[in-house]
Amino acid sequence: MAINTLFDRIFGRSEKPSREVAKERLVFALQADRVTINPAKMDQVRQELFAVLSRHFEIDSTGLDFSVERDGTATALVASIPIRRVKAE
Amino acid sequence: MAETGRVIVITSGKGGVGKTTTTANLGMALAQMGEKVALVDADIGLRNLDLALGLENRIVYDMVDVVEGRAKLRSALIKDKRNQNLVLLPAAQTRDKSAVSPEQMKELVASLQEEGYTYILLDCPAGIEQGFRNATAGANEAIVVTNPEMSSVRDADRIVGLLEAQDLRNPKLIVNRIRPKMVKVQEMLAVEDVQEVLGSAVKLLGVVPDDEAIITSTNRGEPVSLVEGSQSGQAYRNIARRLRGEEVPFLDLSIKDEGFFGRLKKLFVAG
Repeated sequence: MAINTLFDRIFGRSEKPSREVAKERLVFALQADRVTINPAKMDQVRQELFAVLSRHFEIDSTGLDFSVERDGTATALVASIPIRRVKAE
Repeated sequence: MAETGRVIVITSGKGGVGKTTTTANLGMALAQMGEKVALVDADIGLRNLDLALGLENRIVYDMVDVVEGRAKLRSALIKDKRNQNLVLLPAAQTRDKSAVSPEQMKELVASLQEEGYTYILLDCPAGIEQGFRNATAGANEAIVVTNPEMSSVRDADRIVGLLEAQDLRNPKLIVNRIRPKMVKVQEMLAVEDVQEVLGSAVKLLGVVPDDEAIITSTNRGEPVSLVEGSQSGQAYRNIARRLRGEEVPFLDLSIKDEGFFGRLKKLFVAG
């Protein structure tokens, strides 16, 4: 393995092959593409979520916070929904 | 077999990856296998499928003439002289994508099915706008063509999502223009890279090598699938057989190790 690497160095192949670079870049680009939500869609999700939760809770709609957060390769929907009380059954 | 013909849209998102060439070659290969094939050029305003088939001098009426009632479907269909099983419905050249609605496209496809065509291939325009929506509206299966290159794979991924929204799930994938020598030296995305990146919802249907024979045969208006001995022609014939449900192994496009340094390096690695 070391000799193989040495050969690569000697013959100017110390860089990562472009196939690998392309694949890595593509994986990252697609991960981002796939979780991109347009504002209209986001608004729709917010409304639907609000409707479902409102059946069970009295919600303080002024404190509602809803966002998409990215951390490295992970993406999450983060919602903070302050409730005033649980609705009676 | 179902009584109605299969309606397959050939799409890619990105332009120039080989949709039209793929449509022409699969159509011809299927016709050679005895299927009754109708090819529809859905790229209104940018007519090209006629050229790939060498039928450009025989166009009298086009799709828009049929949709707007100026011509009967049968009189607009151009019969291929090399194979009577194959017909082309050309796109209009002087109109734009808004000349046909998704509803009209569905009706057109239904009329072709009534005529008894067993395979109706729709050559989709590039892009994700109305032309794409028209072409996909009439289809019940989809083939996504991509090249082993970043932007076309990215667009293919987007197209897969849009197809799903049109209820065209699990599209089949053709990786076109593979250069085995570049893959061999790790300087081109390999077919398995493309598959891995696009995910398991997309099933590999075929691999077509980048082949000069495609350029020369397209120059002559003769689909390469008619050319015996060409690797790309073989690839297209194999894809046609797979479409018909046959199990056909993928072409072996790998390059055997060669050259002094390659052998020397191998010797060292082995040792």
